[in-house]
This record gives sequence, C-alpha cells and structure tokens, in this order.
Amino acid sequence: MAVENRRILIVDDERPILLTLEALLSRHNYQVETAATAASGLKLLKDKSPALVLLDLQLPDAEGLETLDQIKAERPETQVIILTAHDTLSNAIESIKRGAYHFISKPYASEELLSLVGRALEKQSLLRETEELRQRTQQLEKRLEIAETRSAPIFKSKAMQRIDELINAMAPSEANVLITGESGVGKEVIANLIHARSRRAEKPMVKLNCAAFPQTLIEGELFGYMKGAFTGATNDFPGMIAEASDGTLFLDEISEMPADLQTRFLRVLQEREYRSLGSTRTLKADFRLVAATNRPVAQALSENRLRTDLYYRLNTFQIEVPPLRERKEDIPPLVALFLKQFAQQLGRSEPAIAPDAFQKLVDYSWPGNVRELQNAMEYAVVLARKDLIGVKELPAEVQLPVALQRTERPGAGAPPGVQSLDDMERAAILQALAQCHGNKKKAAQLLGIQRPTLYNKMKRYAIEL
Amino acid sequence: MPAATPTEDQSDLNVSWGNIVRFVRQLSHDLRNDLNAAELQAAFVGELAGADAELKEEVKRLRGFIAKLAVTLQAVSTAVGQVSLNTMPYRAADFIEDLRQKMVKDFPVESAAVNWENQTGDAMIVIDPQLLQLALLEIFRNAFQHQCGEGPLAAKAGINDKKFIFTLQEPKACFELSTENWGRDPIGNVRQGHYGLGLNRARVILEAHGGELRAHYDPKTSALVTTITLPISQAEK
Repeated sequence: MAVENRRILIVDDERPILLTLEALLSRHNYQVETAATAASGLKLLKDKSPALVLLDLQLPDAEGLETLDQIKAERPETQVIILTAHDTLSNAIESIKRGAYHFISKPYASEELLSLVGRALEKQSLLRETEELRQRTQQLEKRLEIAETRSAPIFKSKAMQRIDELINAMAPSEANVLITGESGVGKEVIANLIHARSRRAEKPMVKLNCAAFPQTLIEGELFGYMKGAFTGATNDFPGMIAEASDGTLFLDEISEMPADLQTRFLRVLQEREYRSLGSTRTLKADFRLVAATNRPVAQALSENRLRTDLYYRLNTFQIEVPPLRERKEDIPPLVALFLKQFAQQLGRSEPAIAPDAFQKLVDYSWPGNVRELQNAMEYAVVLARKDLIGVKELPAEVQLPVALQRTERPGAGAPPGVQSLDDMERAAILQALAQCHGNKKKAAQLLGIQRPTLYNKMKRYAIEL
Repeated sequence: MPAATPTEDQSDLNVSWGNIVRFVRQLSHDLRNDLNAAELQAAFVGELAGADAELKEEVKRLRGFIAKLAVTLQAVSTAVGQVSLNTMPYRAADFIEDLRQKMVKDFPVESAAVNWENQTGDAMIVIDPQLLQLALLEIFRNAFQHQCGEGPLAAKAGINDKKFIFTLQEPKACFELSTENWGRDPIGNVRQGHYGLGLNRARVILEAHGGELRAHYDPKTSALVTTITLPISQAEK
C-alpha cells in the first residue's frame, strides 16, 4: 500500500480518545494527524490529504454531520469512520446515509477499530484504483475517438463523393473489392469504411500487408499452420483467413504477394475452402475480400506482379482513390480535421492558420497525399506559436514555391526514357532551386553557372518563383 | 403445558461469571443485529412517509425507541466485555483535568457540586486514558445516583509512596451497605434501568492497570470514601 494510503486524520475534542487512537494507530504503522476541532480537522484534510478520517460527531465548534458533509465535499474519495457515543447512534446511521464508511461506538475495542480501519483503507484504495481505471478508460475512449475520426475519410470533392456513393451501394454485398491509388491516399481508410458499412461490420476485419512480411512468411500468416509444419512452427496458428471468419480480410499491397501464393489464394476465393500448412483438414473460408495496391494495375499486370486471373476475381468492384493534388477541395476539411486531432492529442487549444500558410497548404502538390498532409499538420501544430500557424511553421517542402515542388512521389509515374537536353536542363535547374529553397545565388553555384545565366535559363524555361 | 417455575434447586444453581458474560454478550449481539435491521427499516419507512409530517414524526419516535434499546444492549455488552488496554505515559494532572472537563460535559448539573483538588505535580502514570476515564466516570455516576447526604463531593488526586491516589468523598447520612466487596458483586443490585455492572467494570479496568479500588464508610464524617490507587511511572515521577 502506498504511504499516502496510510495517512489517517482523527478529529475528536476529547484528549484521551485522541491520544489513545493516535498511539494505537501509530503502533500499527499508520501516519496519524490529530485535530481537536472541526476547523483544524478540515484544514488538515486539505493540507495532508488523509485516506481516512475518524470523526467524532460531537465537536465543540461544529455539528458532526455538517463536518462530514464538508469532508465529503472536499475529498469525496476520503473514507470516514464515525466515532460515536451511545446516545448518538441514530446520528451515526444518518452519517452512513451521508457517505460515511462506518461508525464505531466509544469506547471502541482496539481489534474492532483496527479491522474497520483496514477495511476502510482497502475500500479507499479500491476506489482510487477504480477512478484511475475510469480515467484511463476515458483517455482510451478519447484516443479511440480521435483514431476513428482520423480514419474517417473526407468526401468533399466530387471524386470522393462518387466513391462514397459507390461504397454505399456495394458495401452491403459480398463482392470483392480492389482499391487502387497512390501511397497515402487512404486506401485502408476506404477499406475500413467498406467493412463498417457491410453486413459483416460486427465481425472482425483482419488486415495483412503483403509488403510487410517476407514472402516466405506470408503463406503461413494467411493460411495458418500446424505445430511442426516447418522449422520454427512451435505452435498451431490459425492464420488470418480463419481469423477473418464471418468478417473482412483486407490484403494491402496485394501485388507484393508471391505469384504462386496468388494462385493458391485464388483457389480459396473460388472454392471457399483451404488447408492450413501441415494440416490435412479442409476448412471453410468465409470472408469478404478487400484488396489494395498502390501500383497502377496496368503496370502490375504487365510486370506480372499481379496475376491476371486473380485480378479479375478481385475486380468485382474497383475503387480508384485519386491523389490529393487532384481533389484540392478535400484539403481544407482535412486540414481542419487534423488540426483538431493534433491539438486534442497535445492538449492544446486548436491553432488558427494564417491565410498565406493556408494558401501554401492548398497549393502544395502533396506527393505523399493525405498521409503527408497529416504529418505536415502534426508538425505545424507542434510548432504553432500563440495558437497561430504561419508559413514558417509548415514543413520546408510545403513552403517552396509551387514551381519547385515535386508533383509526384519518387519512383512513380512513367518509366524513365530518353529525354531531350532541354527537359533535362529544366529539371536540373528546378532540382537545384528546390534544394536551395528557391535561393537563386546558391542554386547557380550548385549548377556551376553564373547567376545571370540562371535567370536567363529560368526565363527560357518559364520557371517562375 | 404448564409454565415452568424455578424450583428451589434451580434458584440455587451456581453459574460462573464467565458463563454469564458469554450469555449476555451473545444475547446482546443477537438482539442488536435485529435492532439494527429494525432501525434501518424504520429509517426506510421514514423516507417512504415523504411529506406526511405526522407519519414522519411517529417514525422518528419509533427510531428513538429502537435506538434506546440498542444503547442499553450496547452498554450492558460493553460492561461485561473484556478489557484490552492501550496504554501510554500520561501526565496525571492532565488526566485529572481531562476527567474534570468530561464531567462538565456529561454531568453539567451534578459536576458543579464537586470540589476538585489536584496535587499530582508532574507525576506520570502509564494508563489507557480512555478506559481509565470511563472507570472514574462510572464511580462519579454511582455517587450521583446514590448520594443521600448533604454537601459537595470532594475529589482529590495526589501522589503518595510512589502511587497515584485518587479519592472521592461522598457525604452519606444513610449508608447501610457493606463496602467489603465494593465492585466485586456484579449484578448484585439490579433494578429498573440499573444492572449493577458499572462498579465492577471500573474495578476490572483499574486492576488491569495494576491498581486497585477500595471503599470505606466513615461514620464519624458520614462519608463514603472511594479510593483508587495506581502505580506511577518509574521512569518519570
């Protein structure tokens, strides 16, 4: 038991009672404070925060029951045991109704008193523990609410509104869904929404990111295995298909799944049966499949990363989530959402955004899509001064002039082919300017040309900062 | 079936004090359980009475009766209970002063007719102040109830021969009892509202402290003198 839990305040105007109680309780390792009046008792209550008060109902300066009310108002969690003479027994019962833990008649028996004190402190400890758990639950509920809000997609733009309508229409069905889109557009959020609006919403949604597991392990994760099926299989593992039973299986980055496993998985989709590794028992597979890939489907198919037959099986419904730069109307509500979330998370008031900073957010191309916007807003909320986010509080990339911003994530887009010298020169100039945050003098130095030459070339290639 | 009547043999039964104590405590315990339930039930009925002032008043009276029953049982039960001391060094003068204040509180009228004399100086006694105070209060209560002489009571505390000595002198013009077994004859004098346990309880408490309780009647001064003797602390005198 913590030290503070053993602090006891005795309020009684009779010195013999006060002293014997103090001696008795001190001998049993309680920390004892004593007061002969209600006023001094209430002061000690505030100063010392005792876990338990032994309160006489007949005090010279106050009614005992009123003092009890004051104690309970000041510190509701503090337990109170009433010390009562025989003639105040009915008051003692009244005191129980007002929140006292118990009462004990004078002259008290030491064993009875000690037992009562022990039980009262135990109750106090349990109450405190309950309160801590309640607070923790509230925190978790708050975090869950934030997480749920964070996961809620924004359907402001027309493109997203169409997706919303499509989800509404097909979510209640059992149809497979393939979600495509660049990294960070919110494919998983869309998958969550499909599950939430489906008839399987009460059942689990199990997620497997095929890119997050070594290819050799994906099979075991998906199908499950029996103990001894392979080296390291020390226990039976049901696998994600089993875990998603009656629910939804979300396979992210499905194009990263090994080709032979794609074939095996296709059979599961067709036959709705499968076997765990090392098992001869055929199991029923009852899940709704939602898959996602950030590779353009045509590219994945041409590179044989995604088997055509699996693609056609998956593609009952395809949702292509557009990149954020193509749905700028979604940026303001997303900014508002993230501002609120991060302010809550940091326990701060929600900062405002200066108009020029807001314009930067709208103008920026967001190659990392919603995820990048989310990170940028977290960065900005952390750095916000006087509840205001200015341009300086935005990530350096966002602060860059539009001309110097990347419009696509690295490695995305058309495969590199032969470019004209002019294109290459323009790209080199843009890269240098971006690297130097628009500083032309430094960019010229980096490119190994004179500043006037850089100006001429910028004019020639229509680069405006 | 005819009602049982005690025979000569039964009235002469020799029942030990220990058995009587167990009997009283058990009976008290059982009855108090029911009384507590009755008290709570009465409180509940009082709440049901709502705005009916007359009914509420009746319930209040009922609760008063129940509380009185509980108090009597508690008092009897406590009076025959074992004494478990929680001792500490205590300044004898403080003890007398605490006693005097308690008397004023509990016996506001009678205590006015007590002359106090305290000559204990800085002597320390090792006592359970709560229980010892109860013992002395009982002696005073006894005196107030049975006083049949004129004049004030005299309470004197002092130190003599390494002992704390407290005497209470009561004027008694009509004392006819023997003081031989003073405090050693529990339930010997039972009448309505009086169970003859108080003096016995006081004696038990005093003897648990290593002290003694004696009384003698002085016909010359027509006074009953009760004397309490307690050892004083050897470490601090």
